[in-house]
Amino acid sequence: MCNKDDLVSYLYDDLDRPARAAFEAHLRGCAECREELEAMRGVRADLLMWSPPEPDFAFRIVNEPRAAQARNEPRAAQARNEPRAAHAENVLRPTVPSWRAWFTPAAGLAAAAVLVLAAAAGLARIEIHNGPDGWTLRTGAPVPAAEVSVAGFGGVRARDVNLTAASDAEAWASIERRISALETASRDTAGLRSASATGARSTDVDLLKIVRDLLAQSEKQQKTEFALRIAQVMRDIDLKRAADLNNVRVGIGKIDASVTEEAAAHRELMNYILNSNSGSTSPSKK
Amino acid sequence: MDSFNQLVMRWERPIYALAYRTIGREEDARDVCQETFLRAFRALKGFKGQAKFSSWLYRIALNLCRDWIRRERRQPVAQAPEGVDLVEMASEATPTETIEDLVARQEISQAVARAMALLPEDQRTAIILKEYHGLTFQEIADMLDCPLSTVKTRLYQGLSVLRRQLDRNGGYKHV
Repeated sequence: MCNKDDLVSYLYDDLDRPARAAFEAHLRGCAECREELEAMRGVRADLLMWSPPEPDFAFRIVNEPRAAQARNEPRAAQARNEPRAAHAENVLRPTVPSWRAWFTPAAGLAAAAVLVLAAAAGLARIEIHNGPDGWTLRTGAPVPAAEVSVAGFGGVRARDVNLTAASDAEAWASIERRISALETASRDTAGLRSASATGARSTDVDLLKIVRDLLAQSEKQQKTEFALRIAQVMRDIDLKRAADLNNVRVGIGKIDASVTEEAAAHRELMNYILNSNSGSTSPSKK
Repeated sequence: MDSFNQLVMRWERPIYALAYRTIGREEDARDVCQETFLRAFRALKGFKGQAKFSSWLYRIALNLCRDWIRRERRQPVAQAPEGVDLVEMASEATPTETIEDLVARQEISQAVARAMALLPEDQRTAIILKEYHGLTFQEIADMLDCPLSTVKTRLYQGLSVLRRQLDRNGGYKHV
């Protein structure tokens, strides 16, 4: 009697060396097992041909405040006919949001404004924080101190350094290289340092000036860009608001005209009814 | 949450594939997949790492598939499988694969899906976990709460049935 467990284990290469050797010895003498093994290998090859259709995954786990969830979810869930469980505390949400449900012109505009602001903030690398000096808004990327070790160098603090574009970064890297080369040279050649103290100081001052110019230039550019974008957003909002107000005015005017017209018709009808009544009652009085 | 979503992204395809091959319906497989991650997320605190995360997910998904089969009260994938579109397959074809190869591959794929649908649930599950998810016999035994030898028996029986079915369907020809 052949051991089918061994056959399966051999098929999936799950036998240790002695057991494998023993089963191979068995195979040599058992045509039925050989044939069965070959057939099962064929089945396995066929199984590999069966692949599921490409799924369209669009969910991620998000956290929602309970109150908002209680307010919004039941109707939305009903509308989407989604499983009830998916609307409990942690919600699986399509990563592609059903934006049509909430997209109104005003909401769209607000969202666009936020996006533009965010994009502008991203471009300008704005940093807003509340400190002992009150609220501070600073443009430019905060650079780790480890990367820019110039804290004691002419008062340039690492956090004030802007690296906003590749060219700036390159310029900054080049300046850094020059600074470190100068520092090394000045450390290693103490004699020379005293001799060329005045020259070195002037080089440092030049470098510092370049750095400050770069910073100023970059900040100025970012501020201008940011201001332009803000102005654009404000203009768009104003335009849209004016258009909406106009639409509302036109709508109210139409409703008003329609109501007036309807009231006139009612008055006319009432007069007609009253006249009819008085006409029909007068002969009896006679 | 972000790290959990990374886990979702890592495991959504295998879990979906498991669900699809078990119940055979694309939409329902997606629902099962989604529900699996939701349950996993809720139960994450209770997961002490006594098993592999993937095994834990597979177990949740399989339980949900079983619930689905019981709820629907029908043999899974008994209907003609949705299969894979030929054009879709063509986009994944190797450069040396001819259109005849593609057609043959699609036929075999459909024949396999039909044959798998006829298997008893325990045999089908064992084959899916072994063939498509590469679990060891021991992992399958742990997941299905059965002895190791039972897993091998189920595999043997399942493969034998598949062999007969594929021979009978005529879809059993190697490319």
